[in-house]
Amino acid sequence: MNKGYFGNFGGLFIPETLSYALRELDELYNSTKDDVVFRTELEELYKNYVGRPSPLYFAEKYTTNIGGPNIWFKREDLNHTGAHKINNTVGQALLAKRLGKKRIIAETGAGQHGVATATICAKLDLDCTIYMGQTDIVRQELNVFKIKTLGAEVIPVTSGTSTLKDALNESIRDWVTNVDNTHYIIGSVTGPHPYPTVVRDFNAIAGQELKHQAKNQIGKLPDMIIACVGGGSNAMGVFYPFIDDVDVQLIGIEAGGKNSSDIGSASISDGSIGVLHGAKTKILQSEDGNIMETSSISAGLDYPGVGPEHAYLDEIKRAEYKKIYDEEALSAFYKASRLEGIIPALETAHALAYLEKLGSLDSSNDVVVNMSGRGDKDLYSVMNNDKK
Amino acid sequence: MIKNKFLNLAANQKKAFIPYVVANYPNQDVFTETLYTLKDLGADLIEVGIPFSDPIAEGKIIESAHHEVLNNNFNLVSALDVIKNFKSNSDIPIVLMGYTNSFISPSLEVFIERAKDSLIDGFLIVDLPYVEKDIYKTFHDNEIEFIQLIAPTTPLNEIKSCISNNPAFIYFISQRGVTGSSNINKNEVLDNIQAIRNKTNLPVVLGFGLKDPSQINEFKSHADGFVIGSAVVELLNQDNPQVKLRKFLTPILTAIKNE
Repeated sequence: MNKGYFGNFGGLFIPETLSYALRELDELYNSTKDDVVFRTELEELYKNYVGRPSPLYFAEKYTTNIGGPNIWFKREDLNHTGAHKINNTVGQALLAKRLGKKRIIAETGAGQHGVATATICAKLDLDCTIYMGQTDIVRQELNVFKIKTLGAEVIPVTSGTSTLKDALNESIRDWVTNVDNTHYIIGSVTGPHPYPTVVRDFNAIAGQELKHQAKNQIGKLPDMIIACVGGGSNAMGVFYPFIDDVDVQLIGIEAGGKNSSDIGSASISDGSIGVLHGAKTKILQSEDGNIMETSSISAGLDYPGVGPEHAYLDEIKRAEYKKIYDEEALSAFYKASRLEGIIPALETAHALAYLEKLGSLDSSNDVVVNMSGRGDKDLYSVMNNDKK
Repeated sequence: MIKNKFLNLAANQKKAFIPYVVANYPNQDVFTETLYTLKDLGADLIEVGIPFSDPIAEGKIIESAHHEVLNNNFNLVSALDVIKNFKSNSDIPIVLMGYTNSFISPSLEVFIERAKDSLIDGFLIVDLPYVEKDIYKTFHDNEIEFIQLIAPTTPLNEIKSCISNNPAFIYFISQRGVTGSSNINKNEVLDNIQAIRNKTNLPVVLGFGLKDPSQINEFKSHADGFVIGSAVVELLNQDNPQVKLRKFLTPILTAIKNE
């Protein structure tokens, strides 16, 4: 098997100009990830800058309301910058410094990865350029302003569908041009090897903490973990430490779009095998291999591909992937806000919506939802949606 | 076919002129006429780009061309028919250039069958790394030649591995950047070509950002051929494209072909 594969998925399908940089990153990551100095630096940032560990919270009213299993939230929404994305950007920014690269580029969809990248670049004194689709710039205006406030440049992308995938294309083009001095912080478990592994590992802090917290607070491992999946980094991070614990059900929630006849952005549920942005994975594509324009109320899930390791977990049936539609996510958005006083990101609201579909689980079962992000960034679009 | 072409050129001490066009761009008629204009001008090989929604190595000119063709309901089979027809009137090798996902849709086997039926000679897949040995073996098994890209960032000790699948020739990318950029470092290119020559006898063709005769003259005694892409594509959606194409390419051809 070729390097960088998870079963049949993954690889490094990129222009040759970038292959050296990817190999360099792979080698550096392997020699650094367990290095004591690096770990100490990373853990210090996680603790005092990101605010880790994030709590495992018992959602008592949600539990009563659902009337089945006990519902717990892993509170990644309480991280600095309001989402799980910072777990990865902090780690990759430290790697960039070790690579001697002073310039950082990143793509962003919902803007959370852009904010998390601009944040750590401000702190570590790195130049930062964020590519963002024009459509997303309009629907995530607040995050655009945040990124600029943090001192980074936002470059609007107007080609193709003007969303996340096009922002990724432009980031890759920038990287091909400036590879000698630039590190590309990919924001999800997507892209060519070693990114799916690197991004997963930095996000796995959430799953590692959860394991420890569950033993202390629940007295056992959870029966089920639910997480939303766009590219799939929050899900991969919380799933990964539990992969060998086969009694823990892992549920990934994809965005179905408006309804079952909508294209949506559920690459595993509705897609087929293809190559996009450097990896062989499940993608939404036409018969002749062109990438489809996806849709979702959630900018962060609106992506026509998925991390190759998710495609692998689906193939070996270690994780299950389900679809949630826009309206279901919106009602979960309001429900969590009103029952628990926690306004979730629209991405996260997709995972919460699945709580309505648990069926056979009862009060002897414990279900954890990975609260990947908070909903502040989405208030504007929810407000506009309600006016329609 | 492609290998023989380069052997013949070498025997006559000639360099290859390799234009790049996008299939069915800006429409099927102009695409068809362009193939014949290029034949008439003396193209040694023609690269035909398969339009793709996410062409990550392309600059604005070629990216826009890809998107425009796709927006006009591109149909690969009809573009391949044009090529098949052209091949019945010409022995110029045709190479399909594009991105992995186009070549494996609906499957690698079906794609190869269609290409063979249209008398396609070779493939150049921008994002297919040499480590995907099974795919390259399938090309060999089906007598499809292919071209290996080598970049200025490719380490010298990787060159042997890069060509381990036995490509028809090496396409050396002149610069860090996308197609049509102007970021060429002449000395770096010359050093790299020499480094490749030290490792292999395969022909080495230069491309990315080439658009005028002075560039050709700079590299002429070092490379075995030149790819002209963005500068060609840019002319094709203008008025009188064939006239403009001839006007633009004639001095470039003179530079490539004259002693």
